[in-house]
Formats: sequence, structure tokens, C-alpha cells
Amino acid sequence: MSVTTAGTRRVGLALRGLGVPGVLAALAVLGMAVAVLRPGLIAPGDPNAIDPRAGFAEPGAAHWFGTDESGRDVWTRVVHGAAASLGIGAAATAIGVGAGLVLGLAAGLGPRWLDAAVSRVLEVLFALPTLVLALLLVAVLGAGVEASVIAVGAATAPGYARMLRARVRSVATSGYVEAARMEGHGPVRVLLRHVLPNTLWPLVSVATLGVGQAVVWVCALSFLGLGTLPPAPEWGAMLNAGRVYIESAWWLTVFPGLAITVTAAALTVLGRRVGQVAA
Amino acid sequence: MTGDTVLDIAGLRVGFPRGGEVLHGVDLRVAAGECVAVVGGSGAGKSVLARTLVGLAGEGARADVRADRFTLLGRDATAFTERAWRAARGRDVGLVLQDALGSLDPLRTVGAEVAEALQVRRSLDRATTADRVRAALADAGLDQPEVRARQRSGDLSGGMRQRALIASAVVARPPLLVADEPTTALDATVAARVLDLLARLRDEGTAVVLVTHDLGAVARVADRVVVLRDGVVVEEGLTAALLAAPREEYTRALVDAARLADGPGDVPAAGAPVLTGTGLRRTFPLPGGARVTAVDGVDLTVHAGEAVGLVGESGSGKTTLARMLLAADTPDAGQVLLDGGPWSARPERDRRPARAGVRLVPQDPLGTVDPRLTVRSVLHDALRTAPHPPARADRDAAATALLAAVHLPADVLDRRPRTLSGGQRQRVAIARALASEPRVLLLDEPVSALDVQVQAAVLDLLVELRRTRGVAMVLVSHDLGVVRRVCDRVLVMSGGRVVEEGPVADVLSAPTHAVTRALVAARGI
Repeated sequence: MSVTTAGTRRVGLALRGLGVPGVLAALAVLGMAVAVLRPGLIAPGDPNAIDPRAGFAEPGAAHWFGTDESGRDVWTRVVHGAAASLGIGAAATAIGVGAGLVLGLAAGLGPRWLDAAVSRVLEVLFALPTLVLALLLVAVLGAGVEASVIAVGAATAPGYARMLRARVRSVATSGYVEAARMEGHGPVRVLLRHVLPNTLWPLVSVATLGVGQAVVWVCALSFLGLGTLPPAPEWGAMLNAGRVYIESAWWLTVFPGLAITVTAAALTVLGRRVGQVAA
Repeated sequence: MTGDTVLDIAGLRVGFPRGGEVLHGVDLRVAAGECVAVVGGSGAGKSVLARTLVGLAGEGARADVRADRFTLLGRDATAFTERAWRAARGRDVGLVLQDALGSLDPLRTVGAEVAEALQVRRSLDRATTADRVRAALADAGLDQPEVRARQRSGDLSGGMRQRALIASAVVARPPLLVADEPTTALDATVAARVLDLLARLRDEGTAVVLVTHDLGAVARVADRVVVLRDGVVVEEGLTAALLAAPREEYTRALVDAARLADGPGDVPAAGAPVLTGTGLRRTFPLPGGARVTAVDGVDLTVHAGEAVGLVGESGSGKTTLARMLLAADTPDAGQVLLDGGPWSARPERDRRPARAGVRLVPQDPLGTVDPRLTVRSVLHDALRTAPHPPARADRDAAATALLAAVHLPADVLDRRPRTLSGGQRQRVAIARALASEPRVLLLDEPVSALDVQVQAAVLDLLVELRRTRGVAMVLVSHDLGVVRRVCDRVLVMSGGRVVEEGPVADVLSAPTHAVTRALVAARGI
């Protein structure tokens, strides 16, 4: 009994900690998760089904977000595009965080020569704006979904690595880590019990922020024709395709653009809130 | 002699939207050349009162300040806008806060920080500003003011920072100075100097409001005392009369708590040597390439069951010595023996199993616990390192027993140390140290951050632990009163050397070294 009440209380406390904007953002993210995992639930149609007679239909009861030049339903495409945009964004962040973890912890906890080597490389990478670095990597790897995931992931890794290095250093030299050592706990236990949890917890909020940012970059790459290629539904690619008709059919660009904005905003708000609750 | 009324407050009520009303109708009058002390225990509303006097009641939050009368230098301060307060601060009223490190910008030089108060007032030319800053720093009792002005707050010790902060409050010579616990974080001799400075400013015509829980400080400089309890003035009067014959129960408790009992009483006799340090020496590199010697050839023996006091001014090497005894730091020369075997000379891996025998109670318990952990986890972790760790199922019972030993209720187990009061935190830190049944406790300024009543209670606990558990103690303190309450022997340190040592009573009654005499005088023993 106490387990369930304690659980409910924890959820209640967590919701209060998030506040109204945080809860709204969490709901938006939940909706996106559904769109990624089970797009058929909200938009049952086929995103690539063409119907030339219904081309350029304005948004209305039949087509909530209107149709494009081939009569494809924009709502269905935006919902099904979430998997590509968000999925790629999340995968890219996972790569970035993973690489950042290895580099940051190696630099922060490793011997001095390793720290020096890793830090110099990070500084060079840091000098290049993230998008430029991603473009550079795409140029080497070639266009495509996998390439854009790797490119955005690798381009964001230096940021995570730098943050983790600083964080793990301050935790490792903190009073409570010294106190644990003076208490006679061994290095492995101190690492697992104190250093890693206190280092990684702030990462949750930063990574949430990072997914929103990565979605924007992934869409930017597709917009430039370097990521997901048409006719696959993807927000950046849809933006590019709709660009030609922006004067006659505004809905082709507005709705995918709105999807990107809402995604990035929701993830940012959520990340900030989680960061505040964690602190 | 006192002059015109500088501050006149009647019926001051301060409330917070969330916290409710903190002050319920406080009256306070301060005249030029007068020092009024506001005393009271934790939570009495002292700091809120101090902040209200400089228009910072809210401290970020919105505060509801109402008063029947609130005049500052003859002007009605209830009508002050935020802008008017900004102009008044520094010019009309200076504020000295307790937390000197938080109040100074770490990126700016001390000189720039102090000069800021002058620049708000009017544009002085650079040379005059520099002169005034130097004079203020020297007035505040800082040696080498030219050098200090060029340093940043991180380069200064705690006492120096506090004095730099006082310099910034007085540099513009405001007619009213509000000092909120200005000496709490300082060692006794520096505190005495700061109090002398306040007394001199008062004699030169400044009105001083001294907020403190230290009745020793009150006796030294205050002309009148206002006793605050739960946001109400319960007693007020001339200092000497009030301290000699307090009328209110509460005031009497405060006065009693300030007079620490004399000696630990009956304790088990000292046994064989546990920790022995011989020829200990430790130097630290300075930025310029030079080295400073923190501990310079100290010999020290701690016997089983005895308590040794380690006193001295800040920077005399007390804490460095304690860290070497804990083997948190390795001496450059000499070595520490534990039970006659090597301790400081052993590699950490070999030392780990023996660490249970020597435990540290830190000055700042909050900084030494993982912020994610509850008291339960902290005590469980500590119990795991005991020579005979309790089984998993018995750990809660063992943790509860530890809390009982330091007189804390069992419901503290599920709190995080952050949510506990200062006294409770220190008790948790002691419980944590006791978990491994140590033979020696190293206590680094264990009560310096606590107010007098809590201080007395924690010291009682230490004496009780000596009696019931026979644990030996090394007590680092700058307060001879604290050492007298707990210890049998005392070592006085100065400049990294032991300058005087002996039984506490002998050293206190007939101090031979100048430093000891200054410490004895500062405590007023």
C-alpha cells in the first residue's frame, strides 16, 4: 500500500515541479512519441498515397493540413515524418552523448596526457560551428539518412564532452567524494556510487535540450537535400518541396515548419524544467 | 556619547507571501555614536530585520514591509522606492553580511569591490579613490592594504574577506552601519579586531546595528541590547544590566548557553598512544613559485580516550595538521603512526581497512555528503566500513541507534541533509563518523558555524561520547572556550609550529606565549 501511495506522491511532486509549461511540453513530447512509434493511431492513411485529382487542397475537414501537389495528405505526412525527423534527432543525440561520454570521462578522469590530447582535439572541433562541422562530415560521408545521423551526432559530441569533463572534475574533487574515500570506500565504489550518478544526472536535461536542437539540424540537412531524400516524409525535406509553392499553397511549408518549431520548443522547455527540478 | 536619532522604527512588520509574517511589530531606535545589538537564536528574525534596514527585506522574493514609523536620517523610509533605496545603500547605510565569500565578486579585485561603494556616491578621481580604499582596508585591520587591494577574494582567507567586506561597507562613511553576524565565521583574535573596528566607528559617530548570536561580541561593543524571539522584541535594555540580570526566560537561556561549562568532568583515563606524529612538516606551492610552510616540525601524540585541543589563529596550520593525522594529506617530512605502525607512509590501498579507526567530523557537514543521498544512505554507507558491518537487514536498526546516540529522532533517516538545520547536520556528521566505531575522532571546527545554544548542545554531546564510548578526540578550534569544555590537553599553534602546550587549565590560567594570551583575551576567559 505504501508503495503505491509513495509512487503517486512522487508523480504528483514531479508534476508540480514541472509546472504548467513543463506539463504542456511533456504532453507535446508524449504526442510526438506516439507519432514516432505508432503513427497509424493518429493518421491512419499512407503518407505516400497520391491522388492527383485532390492536389493543392486547402486545409479543411477532409484534409486537416491540406494536400500537396500530388494530392498527398500533409497531416499524414507530418505525423509519419516525425519518425524520420525526431528519430534521427534522437539517434544523433545518442551518438553525440555516447561519444561525449567516452571523451569527457577519459579527459576528466584519465591521466594528464590523455586530458591534454582530448582537450586539444575538442578545442579544434569546437572552433567550427556545429552545422558547418555536420556539413563537412556529410560531404565526406555522402548524403543520406545514416550519414546525417552520424554527422549531427559527431558534430554535437564535443559540446557534451566538454560539459562532462568539467562536471566529472568538479564532482571528483568535491568534499563528498573525498569524505567517501576517507571513510575507507574503494575507488570503484566511489566511482559508481558518487562520481557517475552526480555527473550523469545533469546530462538528462542537457540531452533533452540537445534532441530539440538536433531535430533542427537534421531538418536543416534534409532541407538542403543532404539527409532524408524525397518522397519519404521528413519535415526538412517537406519544407524544401513546399518552398516552390510558398505563394500559392502556404500550408505545404507552414505545417512541417510548425512541427519542427513545436518539437524543438517542447523539448527545450522540458529540458529546462528537468534541469531545474534536478538542481 | 550619543547624538541625533539616525534610525527610528516602530511597529515594523515584515511578511513573505509563502512564509507568513516573520517580524510582528518591532521597535528599534539607534542614535549616532550608539551601537545597538540585536540578539536571538536561529529563526528569531534577526537577519530579516537587518535586511529590512537596508531595503533588501525580500532578498529576491517579494516581501510585505509595513511599519507605523520607519525613518532613516529623518526621512520616511516606508515611502522609499527601489531607486531611493539604491541611492541610500552605501551612502546612508552600509551592510556587512556574514557570508563574505558569496558577497564578493570572485572575478574582481578587492580594491575594485571596495571602490564601488564610493563610485555610487559621486565621481572621485582615481588617486583619491585609491587612497580611500587603502585607508578603509587598513582601518578594517588588513595588513598590506596595497597588496590586498590588488588581490581577488579567492586569494584571501576567510577573515581577510570578512574584513574586506567591512571595508566596502564603511569606505563611504555611512552614518548607519548594519552588521549581520560579522564575526561568526572568524577566529577569535580576528573577530576581536573586527569588533574593535566597529567600536571605533561608533566612537567616531557612526550608528551601528550589530545582529549576532554571540553574546561575547555584544558585551564587547554594544551599548544597548534588543532581544528578538519569533519576530517579537522580548527584552531590551543597557548591555551590562541586561546580561547581568536577564528578566526573560529566553534571554537567560541565551546567556547560559554562552557560558560554556568548565571542562569535561569525569572521563575515562587516557590509555596507550593511538596516533603519533613526529616531525611533521608540510609546505604548499604559491603561485609565484615560492612555497609556504603550513606545518613546520610538529610532534603530537594522541592517547586512547583523551581529547586534545588544537587552537590557533586562521592560517596557523591547524587544519593541515588534522588532515595529516587523517592521512588525507601526506607530510613532506616526518610521519604519522597509528597504533605504533606506519599510517601516513602506507599506500592508500593498505590504509583503507584501517580507516575505520580514525574519522573526521568536518566543519561543513553539507559539503561532505553526496547531495543525492538521504541520511539513511549516508549512514548505511558509513556502516559498511565498520570492522563488523551489520547485516543488510540490521542496518536500519544500527542507523537508528546511531541517530539516537547523537540525540536525533529516527524520522531524520529519510531526510536529505540539505533540509536539516545546522545543528542537526552536525549531529548527523558525528553519527556518520561514529558508525565505524572509531578510536579517534578528528573534529575540524565542529561548532564554529552554529549558534550558541546549538553549540553548547553539540559540545555536551561530544563530552557525553567521551564518557560513554571512550573515543579519543582531536578538536580543532579557534575558540578556547570550546576547547576548555571538551579537552584535557591543548596545543596552541602559530605559524605552523606548536608554541605552547599543556593541560587546558594550566595553559588558560597562565598563558606564556603572546598568541595564547591574545586568544584567552579574545574569549574573555
